[in-house]
Amino acid sequence: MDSERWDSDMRGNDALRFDLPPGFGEHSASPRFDDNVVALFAPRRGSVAALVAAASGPAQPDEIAAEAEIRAAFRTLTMERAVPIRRRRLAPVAIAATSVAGLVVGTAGLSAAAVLPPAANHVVVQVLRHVGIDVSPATSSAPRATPAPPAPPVSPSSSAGATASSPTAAPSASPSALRPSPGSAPARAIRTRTRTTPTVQAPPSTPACPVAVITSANTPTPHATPAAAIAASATDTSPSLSTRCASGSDGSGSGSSGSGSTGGSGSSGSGSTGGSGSSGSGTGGRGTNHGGGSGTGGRGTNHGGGSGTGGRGTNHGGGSGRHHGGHRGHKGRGPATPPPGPVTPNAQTSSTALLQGS
Amino acid sequence: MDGSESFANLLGRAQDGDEEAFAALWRSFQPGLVRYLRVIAGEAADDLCADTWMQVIRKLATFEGDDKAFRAWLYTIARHRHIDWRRQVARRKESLVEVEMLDRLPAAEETSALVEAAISTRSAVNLIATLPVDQAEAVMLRTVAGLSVSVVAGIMGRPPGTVRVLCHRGLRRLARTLEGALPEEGVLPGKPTSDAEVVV
Repeated sequence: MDSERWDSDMRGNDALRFDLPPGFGEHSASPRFDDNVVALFAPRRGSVAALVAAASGPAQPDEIAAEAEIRAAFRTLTMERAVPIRRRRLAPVAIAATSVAGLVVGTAGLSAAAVLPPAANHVVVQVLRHVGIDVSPATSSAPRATPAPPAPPVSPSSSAGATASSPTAAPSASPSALRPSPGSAPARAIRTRTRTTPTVQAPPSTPACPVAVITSANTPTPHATPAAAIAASATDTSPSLSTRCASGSDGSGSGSSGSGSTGGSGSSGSGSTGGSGSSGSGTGGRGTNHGGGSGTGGRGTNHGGGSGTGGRGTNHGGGSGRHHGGHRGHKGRGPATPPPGPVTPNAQTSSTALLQGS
Repeated sequence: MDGSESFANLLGRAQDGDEEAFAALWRSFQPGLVRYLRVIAGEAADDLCADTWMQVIRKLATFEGDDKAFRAWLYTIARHRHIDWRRQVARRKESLVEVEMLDRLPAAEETSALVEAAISTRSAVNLIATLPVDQAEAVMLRTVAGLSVSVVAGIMGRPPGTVRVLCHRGLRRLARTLEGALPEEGVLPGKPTSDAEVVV
């Protein structure tokens, strides 16, 4: 290899094309003459360039004879991958839709259960109302609370409780705000709505029941109105009740100011239908209904309550206790506190039920 | 590929399932591919070519790039298929020496006639196939497929300098095959003179 050929590798190809056979550059399939490798041999060895040009010549019939087969393969493979491609394209949409739906439902549930802080709960309620979802506890707890007929006359304290549990005030009502004063016996009396039960007092030495005095209600509380129901719910969330619920239930109650709950999603105030437990007169659809005047545990556990009805689960106490126990009986693990006073055989107040249940 | 339609349009239509567009792409790239595979794989070229295009069809929806990138992608797949095929052959303990290739080696006088009478494509490919495999592959990828040195280096897994050397040696050997042995010209300036392998 002489220096001329070596130098040709370093410079352009245009000057080297004179040695090529005519027509080679016209039918080539690739721009091979831009490649100086071919030109390397062009000045003195045009035969190599011709060879390369021939190797990159037009398609021969035998080379493209399999077009029908490759078309069939293309059709087959394209049809096979059509569905997965569609699914892949829909997957992000499905994920996004599920996420949004879950966020809305979850937020609404948390707001209805009053788990969120009052300020956040208020914001969530307002936001959800903008999109047409009313998640106020009064409307989401029980069907009877959805209409808004005028509240029947109740005692002053119970009316105060009703005010505190109004749809606008309930989410922001802190447990301490709902806590009745020590002397507000009539307010607690509302909880025992349909029973004329004697007064049951917890022993003062019971640490788990610091405010175990639950006065029997002499005033039957009509539950046909949401206001009364809410008032009853509000009074149900007493510290004593919550403490008992917390100790007597599955042990997951928060025990703070009557917001005893299962799984931390208890509702202070009106009972809620759904997974979260509730204190008061709610209907525990699937969860646990702690206390309450007329709690109905759909599938879960009904702790206490004036007229608790355990659908399928365990009914601890309950006022009437028509379906006591359900399947499993008591599950309470808390310290059992005997009833302090004489309890008549028919005395099935919520406090008694709680004491027995715990 | 039709000159009236760009590669991007054809590719987009093919990715959407247009059979005609894919056929146009296939007709454009198939000749170079099958020649390349004939050089490096011999008689298995047609099977490897079909496997290569099947893989292209499977992954066509995910490809992004221009015609050069597509060509590089195509030849990369083909080379991987070739490597797999060689492994399978080695496992079966079959002979890798293809006797048919010896028959394709043209005689000296036949080579001259071939050049003078405008070399046929098949004969040219067969002549390139007589080169050592790496040289033949480099020559085909550089000259027939029209890929750049860097792309060929990426496909072959060799440094660019090695690709240049392989291509240079392959073309030099082809030149000697075509024009007869020229020992005095078989040495590059500054290169060792013991480059005897150029004599076929």
